[in-house]
Amino acid sequence: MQSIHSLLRRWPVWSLTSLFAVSTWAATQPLGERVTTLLAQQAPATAETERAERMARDALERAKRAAASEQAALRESADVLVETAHEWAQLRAELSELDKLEKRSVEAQARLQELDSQLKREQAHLEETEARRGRALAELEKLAPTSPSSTATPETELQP
Amino acid sequence: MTARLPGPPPSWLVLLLTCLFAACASLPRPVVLDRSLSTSKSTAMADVQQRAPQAFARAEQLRLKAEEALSNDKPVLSEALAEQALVAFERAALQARMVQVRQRLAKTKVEVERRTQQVAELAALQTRAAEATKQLELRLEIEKHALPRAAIEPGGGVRRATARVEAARSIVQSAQLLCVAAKLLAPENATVVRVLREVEDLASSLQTLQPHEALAQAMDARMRCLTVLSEVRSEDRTLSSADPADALLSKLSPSLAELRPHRDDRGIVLTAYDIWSEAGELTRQGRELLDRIVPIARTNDLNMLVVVYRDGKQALPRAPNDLEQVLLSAGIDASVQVVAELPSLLEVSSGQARQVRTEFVLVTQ
Repeated sequence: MQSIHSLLRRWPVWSLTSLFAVSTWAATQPLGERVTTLLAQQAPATAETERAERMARDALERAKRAAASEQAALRESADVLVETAHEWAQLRAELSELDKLEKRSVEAQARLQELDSQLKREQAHLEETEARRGRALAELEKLAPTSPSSTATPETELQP
Repeated sequence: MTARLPGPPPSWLVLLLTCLFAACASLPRPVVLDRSLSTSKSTAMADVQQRAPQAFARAEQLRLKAEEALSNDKPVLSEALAEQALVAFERAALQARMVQVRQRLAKTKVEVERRTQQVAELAALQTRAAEATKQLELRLEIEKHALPRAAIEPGGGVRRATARVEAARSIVQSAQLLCVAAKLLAPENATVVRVLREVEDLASSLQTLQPHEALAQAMDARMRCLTVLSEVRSEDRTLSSADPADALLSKLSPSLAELRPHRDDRGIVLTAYDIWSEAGELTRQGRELLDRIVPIARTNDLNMLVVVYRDGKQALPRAPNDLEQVLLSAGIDASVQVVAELPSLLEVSSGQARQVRTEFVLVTQ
């Protein structure tokens, strides 16, 4: 039990170590494989993400052909083409991140609208209650001019 | 002397000059490089440069590398770099959009937090206002009924006497139901028990009284029952609580709309028609209805007053007493009363008027 607690206490060390391990693994992984890994990740099926995926695969294919070419000029461009494929794969991942962000933004907007309506309802309800209270007070004062003051809540106490 | 005109240049010279010109001419610019240049200088990119400066700078650097590669006579590399620069510009634009969405989201979240707080503050204020209002209204109700009643003079002919007796019966019945509701809320309260007994005595002795006396006493009895009910409620009510009946009524209104939920002095009233069979037992529809109402009463810890109205032509339902047992065994303090039909304030169709009316009153605190 104590050892679990001591492990939990050292969570910053663990998380930093894991982060370092992940980034080291990513850095040592060849760029072409990183492109494949990125493309294997889930992304919303939109025209933009599909285009990015298609372009990434196309660039990767061209990079392979360039690397195998007999012309030196073509071979020279192979690395740049792999980097371009990586750019496309990253673009695809970012598109999916943007999609999530936009969904969250829409949800937040909807929640805000809901709260706005709730606020209006509460305000209307309060106004109605205040009107009822005013009527009851007036009637009580008519019936017994001195008695209601003892039970009535002062007006200022209910002001927002 | 004749001048010698120069002849056509020798073909070897023409070939040499052509080769020289061809060697000196610049390489054709890749189209993609022009595209990356126009993208970089576009007005849309001015905004991107502000929102995502690092991503833009990186793309611009790639474009410059492509230009450099072209000037170093490496058109293939230049084309590849320009293509990469174009994707990098696209990513920069995307990152600018993300910054925008993030800013909007953060702003909305702050607003949501602010609104939530405002709603909570307003709700708390409403709770206090509703409570203060309720107390005032209770007090008003008591004060109103405590006002000296105008004396009812005897006489006025047979028709007036008959009307007075009918009115007295109706008022005593209403008083009884109010007192039963109070008893459900405070079964041990000595005042409630005493007033209920007095009202029951009055109901049985009503025929022996003069019409004007019967009416006067009935009105006094109703006032007493209303007063004890109000007192029982104000004893139980805590200042922090909102009016539970209002909250429950708004909750029930959509789901039990066909029972026309409404409030009266006793609590929330649900009205059903024709839920008794010829043999005087609950019909299937009645049992289903009970299955819907019982959980509500149980969940909200409410007592139930069931009032079965009948007129002289209708058979008296046999089951009410069984119904009381059923409700008690379901954990609900209940009272079932069978009373003579009174003119209803609710609008009913002629078909409904012929049916046995049953009120399920959820007695609220």
